[in-house]
Amino acid sequence: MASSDKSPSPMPSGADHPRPPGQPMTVEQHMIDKGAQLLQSLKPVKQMNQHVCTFALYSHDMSRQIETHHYLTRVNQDFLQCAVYDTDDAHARLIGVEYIVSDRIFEALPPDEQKLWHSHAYEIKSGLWVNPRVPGMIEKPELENMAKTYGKFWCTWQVDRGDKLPLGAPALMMSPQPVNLGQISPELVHRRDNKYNISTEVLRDSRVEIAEPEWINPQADYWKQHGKGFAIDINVTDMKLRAPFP
Amino acid sequence: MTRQVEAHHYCGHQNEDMRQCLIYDSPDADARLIGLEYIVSENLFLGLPDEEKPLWHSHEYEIKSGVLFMPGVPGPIERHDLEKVAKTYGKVFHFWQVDKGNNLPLGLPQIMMALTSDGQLDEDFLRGVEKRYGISVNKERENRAHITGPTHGIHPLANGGGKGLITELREVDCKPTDSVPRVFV
Repeated sequence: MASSDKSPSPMPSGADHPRPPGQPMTVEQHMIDKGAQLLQSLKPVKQMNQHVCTFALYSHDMSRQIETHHYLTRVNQDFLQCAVYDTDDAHARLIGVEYIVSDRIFEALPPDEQKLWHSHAYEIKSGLWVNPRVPGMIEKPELENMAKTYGKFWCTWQVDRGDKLPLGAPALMMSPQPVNLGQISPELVHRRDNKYNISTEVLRDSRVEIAEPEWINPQADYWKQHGKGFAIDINVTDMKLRAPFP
Repeated sequence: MTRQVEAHHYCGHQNEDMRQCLIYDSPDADARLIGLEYIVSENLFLGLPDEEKPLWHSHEYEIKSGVLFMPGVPGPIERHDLEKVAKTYGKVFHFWQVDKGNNLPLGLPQIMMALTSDGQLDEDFLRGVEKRYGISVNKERENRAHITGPTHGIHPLANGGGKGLITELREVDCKPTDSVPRVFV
């Protein structure tokens, strides 16, 4: 029915605007939203406490690479959950969710689960992973933790494909790696560096002291060992029901 | 559809016709981020390619039945927004099946459908929610009697076209294949 590696049929005309199509928000809708914001606690969202800018590659086509903006919530010392957006501005599109676990948790996962995850060591050591506007000194202890973690990132809106709206199946994403297909295009990195007035190369040099993990499980970054990526298909099935549907 | 989960949605507008929401399993500070939802107006939904439409569900029943509510927002304000939402369609993915007792987000994303008629929701499950939030779904249902769904009716292709949807993993070759070192050659 739908697949992460199948391009959707074209949308009707009038959808040329890069942003999602739709009318500007009405004053009334702004009022409703503001009211709700005042009246509701919004506790889960308020726990987000870190902005990370980095890059990701589609598992089913690693030539497609995107800049990502992760808003992280640390649930405990071994687990983080992130809302992922395509930019860091107020109109950012929500493109997916990433979960991050410590090496301790990762090692206990079944092998079939592990192959959906990617390692973070290179991404951090290379300077690709940054906390925009956070000074290096403050960033460092967290980076040391993160270098040992693994991530599982589902992308639900393939904006780089030109999708005006979130179409099709979710896609599994992989992390940058120092070998061939895992390398991020220099233009993409350059564009990001310009935006934040940083240099990934300088960051890389400043991070040489961050310890390389002694062991990166080869079930993670599955493509590196096996030359295989993963696509997701959505198919029709029978349902268990309580009452007729729909 | 026998596995049912309570979901707390935190939504932001992209514009008047589209919202994007993060879905948590509770309203507390330690809530787990279990999924996301995109919500579009009927107008945008009708413009989607036909093969995309089954992945979206209608919201009319959830709203008219009272099972969808905005905790802490007074009824009149809530109903004002829900009059709009009742005409929309949503696309939900859950990445974490907490109802299965998973303490980690395992496996593939699941595409979620919404309730579309009476009898589908587990009554005991609903009573529990009513008690915690001090609400009455049946009473609210009367307040919402005037609310109407999509102008053109619920699209027959929406809601999975009436079928269940399942996600499956497919291994593909990395492109270009020869660029990846083979350890087991």
